[in-house]
Amino acid sequence: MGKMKFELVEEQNTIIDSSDTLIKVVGIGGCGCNVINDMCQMTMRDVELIAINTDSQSLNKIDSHEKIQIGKKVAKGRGTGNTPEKAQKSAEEDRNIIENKLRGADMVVLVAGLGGGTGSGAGPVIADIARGMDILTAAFVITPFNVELNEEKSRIVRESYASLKDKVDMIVDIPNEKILELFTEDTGMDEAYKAVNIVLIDIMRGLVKMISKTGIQNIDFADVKRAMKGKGNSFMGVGKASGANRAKTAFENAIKNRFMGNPNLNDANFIVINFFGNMSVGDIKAIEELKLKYTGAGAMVKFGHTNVADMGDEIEVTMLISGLHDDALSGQGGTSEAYNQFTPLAAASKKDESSKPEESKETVDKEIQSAIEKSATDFMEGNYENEGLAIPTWQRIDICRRHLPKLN
Amino acid sequence: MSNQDETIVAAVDIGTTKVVTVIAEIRGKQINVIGVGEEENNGSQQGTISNISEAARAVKASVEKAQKIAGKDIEVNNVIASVGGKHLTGIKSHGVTTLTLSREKEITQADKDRAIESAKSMPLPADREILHVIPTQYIIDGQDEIMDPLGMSGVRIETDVYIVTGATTLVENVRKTIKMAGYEMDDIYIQPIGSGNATLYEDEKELGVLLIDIGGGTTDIALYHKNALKFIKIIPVGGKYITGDLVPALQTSKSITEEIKKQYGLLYEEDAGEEIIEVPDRTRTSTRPMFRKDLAPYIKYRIYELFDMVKKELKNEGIDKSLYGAGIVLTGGGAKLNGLLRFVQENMGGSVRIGVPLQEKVTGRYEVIDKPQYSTVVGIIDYFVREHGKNERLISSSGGFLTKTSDKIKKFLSEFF
Ligand SMILES: Nc1ncnc2c1ncn2[C@@H]1O[C@H](COP(=O)(O)OP(=O)(O)OP(=O)(O)O)[C@@H](O)[C@H]1O
Ligand SMILES: Nc1nc2c(ncn2[C@@H]2O[C@H](COP(=O)(O)OP(=O)(O)O)[C@@H](O)[C@H]2O)c(=O)[nH]1
Ligand SMILES: [Mg+2]
Ligand SMILES: [Mg+2]
Repeated sequence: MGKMKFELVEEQNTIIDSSDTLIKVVGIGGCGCNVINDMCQMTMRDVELIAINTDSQSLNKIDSHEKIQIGKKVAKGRGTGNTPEKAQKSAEEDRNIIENKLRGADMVVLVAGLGGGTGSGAGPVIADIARGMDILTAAFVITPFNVELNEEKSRIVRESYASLKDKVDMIVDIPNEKILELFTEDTGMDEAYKAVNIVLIDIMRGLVKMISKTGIQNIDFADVKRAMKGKGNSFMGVGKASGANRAKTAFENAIKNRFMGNPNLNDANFIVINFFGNMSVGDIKAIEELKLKYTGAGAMVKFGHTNVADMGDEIEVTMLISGLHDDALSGQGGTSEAYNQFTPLAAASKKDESSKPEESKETVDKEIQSAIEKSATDFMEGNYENEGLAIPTWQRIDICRRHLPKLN
Repeated sequence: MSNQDETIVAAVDIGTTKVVTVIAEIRGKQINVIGVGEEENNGSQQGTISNISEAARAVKASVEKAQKIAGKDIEVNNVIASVGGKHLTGIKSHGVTTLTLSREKEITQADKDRAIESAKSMPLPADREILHVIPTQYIIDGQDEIMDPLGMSGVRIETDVYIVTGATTLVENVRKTIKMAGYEMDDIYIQPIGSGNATLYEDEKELGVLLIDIGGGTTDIALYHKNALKFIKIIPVGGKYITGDLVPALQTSKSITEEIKKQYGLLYEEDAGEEIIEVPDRTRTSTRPMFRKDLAPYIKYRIYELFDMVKKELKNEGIDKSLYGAGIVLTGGGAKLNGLLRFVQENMGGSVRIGVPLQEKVTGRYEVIDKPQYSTVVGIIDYFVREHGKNERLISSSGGFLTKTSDKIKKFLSEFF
């Protein structure tokens, strides 16, 4: 195990206005837009909220900074009837509009419920657009209750998850099913949905706060970027606690994330941990101890703490861990459990990761060649009327995109 | 037509990215270039005019620039112009006529015209018009492959023709643009014919040659075989898309991306070695370094796709290599892309060269128009001068333009020389 590289970010006494980091949160589909709406009602600060849907009626109900109705031609304002393919076309149709709305963002956070149509189909396209613009991108996805699942829906969840994972820098999965443990039998579906939304919003707030909390800032965008860009899976946890031992308890709560399972920190290569609250000397001591405890890990660890006066007795901790192996999240994670009966997501994503190095250059070249040939045929047969022609070839064709040099 | 006399022609090529005007004195069949003017055009898309007033502005500016170079006494009232875009299509047709007046008689122009008229009398949708009728051969009493039947004897004349048509409204937009710019349009030619005429040698056209004009908005294919145009196809993909493909990669403005593409763009990574280039930001206040070779992947997938389209269009039409034994000629600004020649050689085989207006056709300011992006404009002059008679569409029109203009021009010239 490598020696831990340790870096302590000192508390600064200056107030830094971090408004130069622009985060855009994009809700896609019914679920994504509901979350956006909840964020508006709960006043999510320091971010721009964008709602995207194929269904014009549902969009009308949403309160957000920006709304985009995609696929006016394909979906005609009536949603997709749970066909991700239709949603994908819709998003492709409006690529330019989406691109314009994302422009200027330093980071984009996508929110979608998987298993329906719009979120599952348009999500990966939007992720792709953000990636094409070189914007740091995270996806927060909600996966369905077990009772909702059937063969088809599971397939949609699996495929859209894998596709998103391939395109974003970090994916955070919040299974609806996990919230059930907290409710009684007669809890209404709407209420349960709302509860999950709040959990998601909490985690996202942690992330946003870590980057753009105006106040004393000691973990910055560059750290988060570095963590998210790292190889492997990421983990995000938020924990709160008050009373005695609150720093340590908050930390433990964040790590024992009931939605994502316990990360195996030995695998991590970059850990960003930030505490928020009305920090006391005792809390600082506790944090120092926690730091010592992680001296063994072969990861770069970055601790920060931000004084927030109006939090009373409560301490909140947000952590972002990257470089985890696929199985580092197994055990209690919703990700692997909820879809076991069909095909676990983790396995699906593992497959595409391990298959990459096996591909020889020749195989790849052949694949690229035939993908481009197919695209050329499609355009020709459509008498070049298809609007997609203006979209960069490398961007339109998946395999080309995967074989581009990393710039910057 | 009195083309032994010295006359002056102004030709305007309205390309997707630029309008270029060439003013030339015609001496016999020689084109003596005396003025060239170019202006950026933001009024066209994919080869067709989308904004008449902007295109007209560009036309006027380019003509005036050319005039300035030609000398202030050169006045331009009439021009010939080009038309482009994927609405241009060609079809083969066949015409027949019999000489009934006497048994054995010499074939006259009138007989030829009747054969052509018969070939032209095919149903044409109301929204399309005929732009060129190009005879590929005449067949006299069963004997084929006759290019010029004048003076021959026969009873039955047949002709195979290639008819190029265009969407009436889009052709009309060229007329309107020229008119709005303040000129009268005397004739209009499709762009690939211009490019072919400027760049191709006679023996290539005889043996068979494939012309590929890669412009900013379109890639035009023209096949010549046995001295006649056999096929055209316009693919709405050009250099502007390549620039567009690079924008998200370079994260800077379109115009900076365009400059970088022209200066450093390439298809083969190895041609750049470890060279590092500096990419300015949108405001040109700072630059960011990158490996030049990293431009290649972003460009090459578009080029692969474009040439897959070219090959598919040829295959669709049943055109194989035997029909272009003399090889491939690449022209248009896009032909300057570093590595393209090698790519086309490897990808399509045969001999490949970059085409610029042929020196043998041009005197005067040759060094100015000696570039692939000027093939079209020089070629439409050449077509006008040399093959005017072969564009049988003009048979019934008065065709008095050369003399009309030349009288006025001659007056100026006499004061000059
Ligand atoms: N060195 C170069 N490398 C790559 N591309 C180039 C180079 N020089 C010019 N081009 C491209 O050539 C294109 C312009 O070519 P050209 O002037 O033949 O087009 P056009 O006549 O305006 O358009 P079109 O014929 O399609 O209507 C532009 O897209 C330009 O970027
Ligand atoms: N937590 C939560 N889950 C939701 C909500 N709305 C929908 N979902 C879940 O998201 C899945 C996809 O549905 P939806 O977003 O409506 O589909 P789409 O609009 O076609 O993308 C559903 O199967 C639900 O499990 C919501 O508001 N909150
Ligand atoms: Mg051109
Ligand atoms: Mg062209």
